[in-house]
Amino acid sequence: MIVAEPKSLDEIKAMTEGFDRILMVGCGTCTTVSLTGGEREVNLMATALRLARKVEGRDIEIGEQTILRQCDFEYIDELKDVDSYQAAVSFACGAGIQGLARKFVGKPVLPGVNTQFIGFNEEYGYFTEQCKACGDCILHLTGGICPVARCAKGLLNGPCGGTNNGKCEISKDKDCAWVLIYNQLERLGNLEQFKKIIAPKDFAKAGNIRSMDLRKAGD
Amino acid sequence: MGFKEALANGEFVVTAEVGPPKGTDISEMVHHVKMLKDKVHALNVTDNQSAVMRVSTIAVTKVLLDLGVEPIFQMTCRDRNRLGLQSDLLGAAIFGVKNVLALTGDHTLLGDHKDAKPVFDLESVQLLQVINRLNEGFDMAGNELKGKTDFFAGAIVTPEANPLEPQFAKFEKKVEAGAKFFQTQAVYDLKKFHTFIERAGKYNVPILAGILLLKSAGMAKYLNKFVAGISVPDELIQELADAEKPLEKGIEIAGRQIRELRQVCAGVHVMAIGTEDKVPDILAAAGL
Amino acid sequence: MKDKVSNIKPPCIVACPVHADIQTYVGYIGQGRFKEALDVIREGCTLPGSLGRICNHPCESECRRNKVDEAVSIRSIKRFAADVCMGLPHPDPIPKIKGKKVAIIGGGPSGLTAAYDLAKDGFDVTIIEKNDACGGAIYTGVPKYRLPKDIVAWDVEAIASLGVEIKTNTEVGKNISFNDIVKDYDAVLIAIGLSISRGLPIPGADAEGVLLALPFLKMVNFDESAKAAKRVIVIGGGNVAIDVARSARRIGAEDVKMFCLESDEEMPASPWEIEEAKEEGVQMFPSWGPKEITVKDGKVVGMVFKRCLSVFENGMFNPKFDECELTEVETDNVIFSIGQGADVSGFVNTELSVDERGRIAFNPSTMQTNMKGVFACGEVVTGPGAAVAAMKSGHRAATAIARFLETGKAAALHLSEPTAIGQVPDSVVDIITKLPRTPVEMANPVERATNFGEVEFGFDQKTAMFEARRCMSCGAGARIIEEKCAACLTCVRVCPYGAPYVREARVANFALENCQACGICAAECPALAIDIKLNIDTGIAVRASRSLDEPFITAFTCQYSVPEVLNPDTVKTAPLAGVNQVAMLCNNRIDTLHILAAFEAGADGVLVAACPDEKCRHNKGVDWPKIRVDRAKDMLNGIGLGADRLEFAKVAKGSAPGLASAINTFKDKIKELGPSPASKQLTPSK
Repeated sequence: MIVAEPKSLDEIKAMTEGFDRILMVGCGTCTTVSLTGGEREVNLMATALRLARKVEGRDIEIGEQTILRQCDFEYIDELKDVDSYQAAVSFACGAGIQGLARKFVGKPVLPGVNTQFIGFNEEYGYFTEQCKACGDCILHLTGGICPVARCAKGLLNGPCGGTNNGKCEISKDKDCAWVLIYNQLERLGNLEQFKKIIAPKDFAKAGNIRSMDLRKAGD
Repeated sequence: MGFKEALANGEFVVTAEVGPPKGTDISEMVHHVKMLKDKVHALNVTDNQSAVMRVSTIAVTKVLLDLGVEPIFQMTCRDRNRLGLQSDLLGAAIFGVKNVLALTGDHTLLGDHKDAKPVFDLESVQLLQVINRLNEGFDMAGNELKGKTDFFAGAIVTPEANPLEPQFAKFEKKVEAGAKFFQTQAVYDLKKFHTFIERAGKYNVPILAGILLLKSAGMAKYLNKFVAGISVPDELIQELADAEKPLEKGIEIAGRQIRELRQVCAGVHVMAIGTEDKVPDILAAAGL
Repeated sequence: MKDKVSNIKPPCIVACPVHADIQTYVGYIGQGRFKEALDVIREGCTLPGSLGRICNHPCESECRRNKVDEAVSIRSIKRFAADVCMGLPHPDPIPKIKGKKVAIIGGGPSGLTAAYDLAKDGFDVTIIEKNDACGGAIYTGVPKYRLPKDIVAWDVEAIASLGVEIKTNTEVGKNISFNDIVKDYDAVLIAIGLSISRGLPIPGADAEGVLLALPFLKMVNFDESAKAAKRVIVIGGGNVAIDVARSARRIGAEDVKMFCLESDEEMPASPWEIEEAKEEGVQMFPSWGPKEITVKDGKVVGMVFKRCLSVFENGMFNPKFDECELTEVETDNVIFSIGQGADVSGFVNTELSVDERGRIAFNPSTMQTNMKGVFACGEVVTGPGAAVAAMKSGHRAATAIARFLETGKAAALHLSEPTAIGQVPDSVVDIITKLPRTPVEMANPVERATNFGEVEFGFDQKTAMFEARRCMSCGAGARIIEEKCAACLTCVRVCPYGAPYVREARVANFALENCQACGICAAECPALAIDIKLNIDTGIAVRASRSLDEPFITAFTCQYSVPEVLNPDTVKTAPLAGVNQVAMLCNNRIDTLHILAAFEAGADGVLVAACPDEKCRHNKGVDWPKIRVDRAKDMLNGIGLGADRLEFAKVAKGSAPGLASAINTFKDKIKELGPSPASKQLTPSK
């Protein structure tokens, strides 16, 4: 799922400065699961922002609505009384925030979270990045462990000199993906694969204004 | 005689390194280069070493060439994408640089610009392939070059890495990718190093063992704790701890180790970050 | 909210014949809300003072704590609720808005229960009682050492106070005719119980010194000069026989022997009654059947018994004897306590039918007799049983009568019976804090056998509250709101008891057997999709007319963080004046949202009390609230109120004083900080 972290209240305060009627929109899918964009978080941020404005000496009105997904117009259309708000804060991933912005024509749509990564929910409240959406999957070559996402340098041909006791040079808390890959390929009896040089990645598949069109070409 | 030729002739080769300064005043660096000029076969020029921003490698290699010293151009993949890497290599070739050491490079998070975007478009193995391709007269995209390069490409290896196996497999890949010589991470445990050299022997590629001067027992412990792939044996730490003048003891140890290494490998690479002035003493202690 | 499990109840409630809301009233006692507890008890168990003493408490046998350690002492908690409230005024009369009159013949447990329900429904109820006071068997039969008469009177008064008229010393067929009653009332309920003791037609049964149980017990209850002979034999093995034997001890019998057909294991009396009788010197002789009474000069001198080999055959009463194995016992008195029959003499020459057993004939489905508008309930139709079973019958009759009076006809009752939550799984048993049952103090057996003082002492306030807190709130925990659930598995991950699961349904479900109602999941669910069934009190007071000079503090505490000495009429517990205490189900339920909401409601400071009691059944009453308080502190800094206005107080064991002093210290700190800038009166922005 897409993992997002909460923005600080200071940041939300700053970006909503000057608005008295704000709609906070939660997203019921990825960011709910990553615990930062569901109904609870929207409620918490809305209460906090109202309180912060009270401390500053003004009362503002915040609407709270959570929809199933913000990356589909049909769900966005379920929002109520949209016209009565001056601005919206979206607690969806970047895609959802932009989706909302396309419906909120003429009004600012502000991000309530920082979208982080495509991740795995390891345990309660702990998520790890697993995929960079590079558009060119090589997991079949690397024992099912992605060096693009899980090696700090995205190396394709083995560990760098910074690997130390199975940990990454950037943090003792992070596993060296290439040690994991080596061990897994060894378990799979496929160390030969490790020895093959993987060519430089085709970043053209990741670095453009990407879209995917599954519709049949119909003339 | 040049670096490449000395290795080909089976001479015991000595290299050291020079770190480009942070700023445009190169006087101290030039002083060190002059001091080492006649004592080494070549000098490595580091590339934003430890991800700390400094003068560009290519500029410093030019300074060395002008001073009559043969440079080993260190190139990391951290700060340039494949276009930048190739064009800098071509530029270096114009200046007369022959030796290139292909590195992946330390992560930006370890340096002084932690917020930088790390590139790593390529990595060491792929960079070696690129260098060979340039030597053949083509760029990565397959375009023919007008005037090709003639680089002598090398790479690094950590003989005491833990775990060693993935590291060794990568060493093999580097050989396959065209590495013609290797410089190693600092070695202290010569027993372990011998084992590595025996395994690496069949690839018939010269290996220059890394020598890093131990200034005190404290430094040795620090290296053990914090630096990947370095393990200073307890006996050495004790020897330093017992010494009245640890620095002199360190020089003695380095000299002793170089004498021993002479029996097993092609040369040594003396790393002397901050103690460049001691390199002649070390070499003297080694009888070189 | 969808609640698929609405008719699944804790096993105590299911086992209780009247399905009293045990969980709620036990919970109230634990919180010090005694009066509220009593009100809840009365809805099911209409005679709380009496039943708190004599109920055979099937609830306790089924208590899920039995598997963890021992059952919660539910009966004694009920007794405490009644005893502690005895000084309070009785309930106010209920207006008789229905305009219909109901006569109830017989003021025993079933009749009183029906009277309670019907009066509460607004009917005009009159009880016609042949004795000088209501209570029936528990008044005339149960001895004072188990149930003092003033307790029964208090229970009856409470029902009378609803506006029920009670005509005592009024016997149908003597002082009033049944036909007149039928004529004068819109509905009649016959609840006359079983008031005649049965004897046995064996040789010598008519001798002087042969007595029957109920007249004997009545004599013991109401004749202070009653004396027993030195040697007494009681025939029978039920609770009434035990009452007879123990009463005989108290009026002078030195040698009391009980003989019954049943074997040791089969004796129908409650095990604890048998034990207490033995302690008082009553000797038990099971598996003996009466053969004949030895008589000399018209007086009892002894009795011969034959060995009883078995009592039941295929579940039917069909005793088999070994006529060769005999024993003869010398005695001065023989008291038969082998069963009761109905006294239907008041209904002869009326339309009312009586069945072959001499009981009132009725339709158990409609509770109606053969006469329209005449209903029957209690032992006179069900046969002998526990008082609480008679109450159940009374409730049914009241429902039937109310429907009859509203619709004009008697209809079959389809009262759905709840099903019980299953046992606590072994894995959960292991992690529940073990808390042994609080023993009930008893009078010394040697001393108590000499008088009619109460044998059992009730709980004091502290023990009652502690005992009540042992309740595991079975099934009162998490419920999913399916349409909100994102199947994110957060509940699955945070639950210490393994209660939530997400299966093919792709929404969270909760295994009621596992759930311990701690509230961790509800406070973590990112979709706010979890409700806790037993939400104690999440109402956060709004600062309305409070002066700005005094700090306004909201204190979130566990529902059980209450002072130990309370007035019985305490409704809402607040350890300190000026503090808005919000009692949570458990500290684990305290949510960052609650904390911010309190500030929004005008609090100058918020205190979260970490679980003060290491005897809490949840072991993690500190960690979760701490995490939530830390998040709230971060936000308060961003809000501009500052983290200083929020305190996480680790209150030492002993709860109330520790909590009070923590709150006082905090109050002083808040006073220095001054009123919350967010609580100032604000003019709305344009």
